[in-house]
Amino acid sequence: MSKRRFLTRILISGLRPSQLVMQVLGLLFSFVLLAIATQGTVDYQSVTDASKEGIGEDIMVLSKPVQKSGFGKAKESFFRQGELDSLDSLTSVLEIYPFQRNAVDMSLIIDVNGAPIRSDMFGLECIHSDVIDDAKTTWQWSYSKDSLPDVPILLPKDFLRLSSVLTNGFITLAEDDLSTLSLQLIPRDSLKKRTNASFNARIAGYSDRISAVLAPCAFVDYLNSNFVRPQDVDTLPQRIAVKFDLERILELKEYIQAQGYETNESKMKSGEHAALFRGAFLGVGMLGFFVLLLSLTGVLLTVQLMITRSKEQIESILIQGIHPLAVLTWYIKGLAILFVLLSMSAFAAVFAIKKHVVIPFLDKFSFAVSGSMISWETAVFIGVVVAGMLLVNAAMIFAELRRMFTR
Amino acid sequence: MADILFNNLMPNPLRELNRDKDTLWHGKHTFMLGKAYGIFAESGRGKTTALSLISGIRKDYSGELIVQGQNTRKWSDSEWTNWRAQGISVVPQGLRLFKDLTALENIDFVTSRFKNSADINQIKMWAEHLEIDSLLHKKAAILSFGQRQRFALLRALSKPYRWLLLDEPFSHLDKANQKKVWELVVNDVQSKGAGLIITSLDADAKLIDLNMVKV
Repeated sequence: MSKRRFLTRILISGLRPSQLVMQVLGLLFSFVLLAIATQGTVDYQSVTDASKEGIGEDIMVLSKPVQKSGFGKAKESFFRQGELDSLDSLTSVLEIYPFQRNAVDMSLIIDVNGAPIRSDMFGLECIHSDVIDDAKTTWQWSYSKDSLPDVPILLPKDFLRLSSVLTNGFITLAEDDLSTLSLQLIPRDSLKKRTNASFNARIAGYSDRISAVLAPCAFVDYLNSNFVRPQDVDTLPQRIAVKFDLERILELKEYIQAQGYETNESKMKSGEHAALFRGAFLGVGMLGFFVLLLSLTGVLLTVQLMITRSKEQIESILIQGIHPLAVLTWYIKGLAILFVLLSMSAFAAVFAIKKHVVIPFLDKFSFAVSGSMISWETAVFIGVVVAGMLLVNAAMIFAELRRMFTR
Repeated sequence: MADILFNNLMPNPLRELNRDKDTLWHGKHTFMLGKAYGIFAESGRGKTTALSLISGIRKDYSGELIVQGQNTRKWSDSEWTNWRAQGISVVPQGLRLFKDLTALENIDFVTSRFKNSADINQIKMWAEHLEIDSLLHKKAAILSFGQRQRFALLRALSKPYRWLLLDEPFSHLDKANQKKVWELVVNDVQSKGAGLIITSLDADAKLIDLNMVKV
């Protein structure tokens, strides 16, 4: 039998099996809480990073309500410069991007294997490329006399569903289908001169964020300058995209309600959810760090208790001429193995629950989290925690062993 | 030169009990290799404490404890460990056998760590001499105190030593077993050229036939 097994049998003989099990479970519980804390921190970080990148729920589109005047005739409202300045002065508002609209209604014809689908009465819009959440790299168009390049257009994700509705479900399109079909854009109204112009188009992507058909600003400018009378071109924006701070969404919400602006309610909801979940993650993180301190104290007390209960055995071992370092090494190796096994088990369990339960649940709120198991920062943090626990325990055990022989 | 020297050595607790007039606790006492020494006194006079001081288990004393010419006050953990490993072998009063190990495993735990330890045949021969060979594979927890006392002695004899320290080793043995144990001890100590320090409550009753220096 190896020396180590003798040592193990001797040093754990001071504990009853039930005590051993309870102490290991206590340690496991500590690591589960630690795992929840760090996983929460990882996701909190992913939400923060997403906000910094301007992706996700931190942009919403605002418009002013249509005013009715006489006989039900609608009059569209524009954002005046004073209103934009007022909005910009809010601490929750990070940036404002006005939409530029062409003044001519367009038709989009999609040729589905010889059966054209025609979508009329929509205007093309353009906006600053920072707001484009897809296909940024191919997002450009320039006029050429020789051959006009295809116009990249960005469709709202809802467009696919709408096309199915428009054809009574006869044609159901998927994203991949559209990228292979022939598309044409045709100016059809408000023309300053008659034209048979048409432009080949291509789908550059789908926007989760904006419910309008977008084209590069160069193309919108081209349409406005060639097919619309100057007096018909809007100089003020009807709609604006607002990049806002998730954590201050309540301020923005109150302002929007006070001004009577219209916005995408689901965006507002997802923003609220994001703020809520961010708060929850932060809470979990803070709770986790508090529990971490408790668990560290618990581990220290547990080891202290183990040593106290094994005091007679340890003294007997040392009297036989065995170096205190051999005992210290036994404890540290044992604890290291225990810490690694328990922390890995706890992290795997917490991640599995997060992946299969929590993230699918969050998806219902249109709230994307990264779902990553561990970032390198977290790995370093866990490493430092485990190493710190081992070092503190080693120092404590060493002091205890010395105390035994210095009375 | 004395291998072990008590130079006005006085354990702190005994000073508080005004035991500084006892023979052992004032003046110089030398312990030479190759000789046997008996510390005989009633309870509370510091017999076990004397062995604990030599083992380095206790360090609460005044005066000097000199071992092999060195003042042990300055010894490091490693020097004490080396002394316990190679210099002494102890049968403590409480025996300190590991109850969850068998008798043989208790001995193995020590012999497996030191060179020049007794081999298994030697251990079995000793066990036969003490009539406990049938108990070698029994857990220490189920043995009687007298049986444990003999296995603790076998463990002490199995490892290398210069000094054998026995703390009331015959307390639970009958006359016949005392004789067998004593034969074994004397033979092993003499074969190793080692010294022996033994403590007992009463020299006349149990150690009457022993030839040793009374401290």
